[in-house]
Amino acid sequence: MFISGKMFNKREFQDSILREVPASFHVEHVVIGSGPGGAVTACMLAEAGRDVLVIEEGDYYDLEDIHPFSMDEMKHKYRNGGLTLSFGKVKVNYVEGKCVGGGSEVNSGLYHRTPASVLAHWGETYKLSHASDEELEPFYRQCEQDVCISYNPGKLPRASLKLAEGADIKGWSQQEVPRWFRYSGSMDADGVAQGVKMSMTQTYLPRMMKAGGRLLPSTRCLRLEKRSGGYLLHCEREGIAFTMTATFCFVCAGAVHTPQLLRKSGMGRNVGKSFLLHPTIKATALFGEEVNQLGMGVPVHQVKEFAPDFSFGCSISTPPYLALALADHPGYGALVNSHWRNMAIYYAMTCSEGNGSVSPVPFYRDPVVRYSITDKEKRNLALGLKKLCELLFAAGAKTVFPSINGYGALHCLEDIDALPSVIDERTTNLMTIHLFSSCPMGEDRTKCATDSFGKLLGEEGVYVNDASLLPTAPGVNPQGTIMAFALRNIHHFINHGK
Amino acid sequence: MIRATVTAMAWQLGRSGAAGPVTFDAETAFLLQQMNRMPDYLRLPFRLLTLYFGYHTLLWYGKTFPELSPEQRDKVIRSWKHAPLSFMPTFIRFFEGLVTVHVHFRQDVQ
Repeated sequence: MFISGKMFNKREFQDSILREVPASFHVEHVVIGSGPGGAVTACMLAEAGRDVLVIEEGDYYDLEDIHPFSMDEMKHKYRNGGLTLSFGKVKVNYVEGKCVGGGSEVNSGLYHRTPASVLAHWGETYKLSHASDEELEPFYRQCEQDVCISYNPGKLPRASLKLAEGADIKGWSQQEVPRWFRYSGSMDADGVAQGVKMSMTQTYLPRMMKAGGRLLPSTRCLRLEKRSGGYLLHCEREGIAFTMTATFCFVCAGAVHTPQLLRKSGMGRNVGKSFLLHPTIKATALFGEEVNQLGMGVPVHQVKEFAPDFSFGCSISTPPYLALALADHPGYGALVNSHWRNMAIYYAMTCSEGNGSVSPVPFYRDPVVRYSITDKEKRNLALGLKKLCELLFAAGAKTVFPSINGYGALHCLEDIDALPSVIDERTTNLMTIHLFSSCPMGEDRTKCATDSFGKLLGEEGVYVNDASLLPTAPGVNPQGTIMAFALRNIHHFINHGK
Repeated sequence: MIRATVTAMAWQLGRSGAAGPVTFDAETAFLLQQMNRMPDYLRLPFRLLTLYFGYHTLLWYGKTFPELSPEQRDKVIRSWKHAPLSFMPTFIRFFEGLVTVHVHFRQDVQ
């Protein structure tokens, strides 16, 4: 664990995590959620000398305790054990982190800045102010330094290189994407670079606690209630209800649970009515040579030739995930046992243009999430899948298995023509890990839930500072955008005398 | 009945992906745990659907789903998987996905 180049005592961090709720509780600033938005917010507040408490619904796990992309990770670090679903004509499976550090603990750590065209769109359509590329530059740079954005110095995964190879053959632009990862400089026997993912439990959260902030895990905030001079928080920890008060509340519980909490509290306008995601379709390729190995690392190449309509990447391709991907292809399941080293999973992701919502259900804790996919998205996904299959055959794939239930395996380029030109909602399996836009920020009061810096409309002391704020889909992995805006917003809060 | 149906589903779906002869107690336990982890408003409807799935074969075979032969279970699963009502394939996919993943994770660990 590193802070400003010095080793941070992991024991010191773990020991300072609160294990019990104090009997009487008032804090100046409470941050609800410890993912990339909440961790950045809490760290900056604590380092500015403020009184800060972070409440996190999930438990604390050291990065080394649970193997990445394992069954234990699914059980312990994913919300609802990974069984989360948006309803609509097409159901989209999504996953969210529910642990200290939130999504940063379970994602691949691929970093992008927000595309300038997306920022321009947010400025025009949502009247988002002070958010040009130039204005965000210092915040990007700060985040990039804090989480060690870097390129992999070791041997890159062969499955990832196959994507780059196919793109090069097709003449399509591809790129290696950097990650928040501190490489140690050593390599394993296969040449894979060693190091540690710079998730929130390695970076901003220990910093926050070193600066005097506090972290209370395994605690859910059920409702906020306005009181004179602040807010009363109704919380629950290990089945025991308690209340606390705070002067300022920063709601950073992610694009689903931030609007859920605000709506359950009867707060805000335009909250939870514009939820978006990046619909993603997958295809599994079988190559003539080995492209996969245990511990091969995170694939880092992406193809942006057709962005923003769709882009391609490579997924985690361990045997369990390969088996799951081939569940749509009865009769091929045994192939995973015999040929998994020759197989890898790829995806085509489109930019969300539909409309979704997050709605509380009376008497229940979990919200209903809906997303209505548009015809254009369906066409883009179908075209994206075709182009992805073309690329994979160009890269040497012998067989490609599209993620369409009951659809046959593709053995040659000609087979691609038979793929549907619009995805069929009944047979296609979509998923995503990118969720946002449920409380958009900006100055257009008809569309936005907060001002340009995350202050909830209609409330004096409630702020949103997470993925919910992004007015539309960024079209790239969103954590870089989330952290940069969180940093920008909290600096604005601190510097404007709050 | 819910446990018996889940056990039968774990066995039926797990045996096709398993590399060798194994039991599926771990998959059954995992499925039951996941049913308790799913969003709270879905838990009761899903349990009722599992009960319905377990009993509905009485109409066609005179036996509950767990009492059917492997071939009969396979036929029932396939008919649900390709049914026009979307909740039916979704129900099968829930079991199929989780059993498949769990069997392979277990093999990896072993």
